[in-house]
Amino acid sequence: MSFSQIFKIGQRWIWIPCLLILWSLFARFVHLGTWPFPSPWLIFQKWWWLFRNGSLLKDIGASLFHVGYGFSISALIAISLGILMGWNKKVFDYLNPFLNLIRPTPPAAWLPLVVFVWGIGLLPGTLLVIYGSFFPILLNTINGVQNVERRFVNAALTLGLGKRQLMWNIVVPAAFPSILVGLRMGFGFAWMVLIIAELIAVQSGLGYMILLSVTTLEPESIIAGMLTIGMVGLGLDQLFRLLVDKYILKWQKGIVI
Amino acid sequence: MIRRGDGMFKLNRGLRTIILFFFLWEVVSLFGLLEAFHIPAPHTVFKTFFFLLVEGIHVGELGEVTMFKMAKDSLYRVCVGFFLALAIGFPVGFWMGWNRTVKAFLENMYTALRPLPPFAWVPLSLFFLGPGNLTSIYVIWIGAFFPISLNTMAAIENVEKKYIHAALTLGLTKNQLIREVIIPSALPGIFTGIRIGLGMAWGLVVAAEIVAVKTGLGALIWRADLVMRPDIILSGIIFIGLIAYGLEQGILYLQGWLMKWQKGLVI
Repeated sequence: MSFSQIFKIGQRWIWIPCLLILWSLFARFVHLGTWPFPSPWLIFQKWWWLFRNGSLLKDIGASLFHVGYGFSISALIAISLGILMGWNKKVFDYLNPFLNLIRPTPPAAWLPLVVFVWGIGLLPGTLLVIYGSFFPILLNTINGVQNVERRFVNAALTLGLGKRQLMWNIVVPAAFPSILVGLRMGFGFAWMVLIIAELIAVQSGLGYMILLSVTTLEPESIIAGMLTIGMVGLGLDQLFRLLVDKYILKWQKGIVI
Repeated sequence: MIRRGDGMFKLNRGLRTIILFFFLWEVVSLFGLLEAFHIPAPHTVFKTFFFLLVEGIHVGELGEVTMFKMAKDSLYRVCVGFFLALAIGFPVGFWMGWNRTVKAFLENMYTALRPLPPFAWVPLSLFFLGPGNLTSIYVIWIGAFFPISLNTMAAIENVEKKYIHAALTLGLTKNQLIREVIIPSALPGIFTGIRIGLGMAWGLVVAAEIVAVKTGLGALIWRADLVMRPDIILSGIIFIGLIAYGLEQGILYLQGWLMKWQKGLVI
C-alpha cells in the first residue's frame, strides 16, 4: 500500500492511540481531589472482570429490557396517533396545541411527579422512557403522513381504492421513511432518558450500576459502565441505521420516475 | 370562503381541548377519584404556583423558596455550561467543517462518543468534581457540545460551493470570505445546533439538580417530592416547561433578527 493510502486509513483511527496515551498521562500526573484518575489499563481490567462476573451482562440485559419495553409502547402509541393526526386535519387541530404545551418540558422534570405517584421501580422508569421517546416519533410520523404526495392519493382514489386500502397500501408505506427516521431519533432519546431514569428511579440496569460504583468508591467501574453504556447505545443506533438504510433502499429500488 | 379549519377557528379547536382537559381534571379531582394517585386539583396547583412566584413557600431543607430564586440558580448553571459549550464547540465544529483532514481525524471519535448520553457523565463528575455547581456545569457542557459542534460542522460543509467560487472570483480575501459568505450561509444550521444544544442543556440541568440536590428548579421539585407536596412538583414542572418554551422562542427570535435577509425570500 502506498503511503497516502496508509495515511488516509490512519487518519480515521489515530484518535484511539492518541486518546489512550493522553488518558494514561492524565491518570498518571493529574490528581482531581484525593482519588487518582484510573488509567486505561485498570479500567479495561475492571471491565473484563465485570464481564466475566456476569454482572455486566445482567445489567446490560436489564437496561435493554427497560428501554425496549418503554420504546415499543411509545412507538405503538406515537405512530398510531401520528398517522391519525397527520391524516385528519380536525384531529390535528384539536390535539396539536395541547401537545405543544407539553412538548417543551424536559423528561427529567416529570421524574419527581412520576416517582411521587408510582414510587421507585420498573413502572416509573418505563413511563419516563415512553415520554422521552414519544414526541420525536409522533412529530416525524405526522410529518411523513402530511407529506405524502397528493398525486399518489389522487391516483389511488381515481383507481377506486377504498379508504382502508388507501391508508394501508398508499399512505402508510409512503410515510414509512419518515416514521423510521422518527423511530431512530426516538430510540436515541429513549436511551438517554433511560440512563436518567436508572440513575434516579430504577434499581437495576447500567445506570444504577454506575451510580452504585460511586458509593462503593470504584471509579474504574464507573468508567467501565460508561463505556458499556456508550457501546450499547452505539450498537443499537447502528442497528437502527442498518434497518433504515436497508429498508428505504429496498423500497426505493423499483421506483421509476 | 372561510372554512371551519381556518385561522381563528383552528385556535378555537385547540383551546377547547386544553380547556376540556383542565375541566375534566378538576371534576375528577373534586369527586375524589384522584386521591389514590395523590394528584392535586388544578385550582390547588394554580394557587401554589402563584404563591411560589410571589411569596415563597417553605420547602423542607431549602427554607423559604420562590420560583425566581430557584430559577436564577438553574439558569446560571445553564448559562455557564452553555457558553462554555459554545466557546469550544463552535470553533471545533467550524474547523471540522472547513478542513477535511481535521474532520477525518476527529470524526470517528465523535461517532464513538456521541451515543453516550450526557447524563452518564454524572456519576463520574460526582465522584471527582463533587456535588456542586461544577458537576452540573460539566454535564451541561458535554450535553450541549455535540449538537453545537456537529450542526456547525454540517452547516459549514453545506455552504454552496458556487457562492464560495463566486466570492473568490470577485477577489475576496479569506477573512472576508469567511465573514461575508460562509458564516451567513451557515447561520441557519448553526442556530439549529444552538437550539438543540440549549434544549439539552436545560433538560440536563433539571436532571442534574435532582441527583445532586442543591438549589435550583430541579432540586425544588425533588425536594417537594420528599416533603409530599405534589402541587409544588406540578407548579415546578409548569415553570420548567415555560422556561424551556421561552428559551426556544428566544433563540428563534434571535435567529429571525440576525437573518433579516431571509424573511422576504421568494423562491
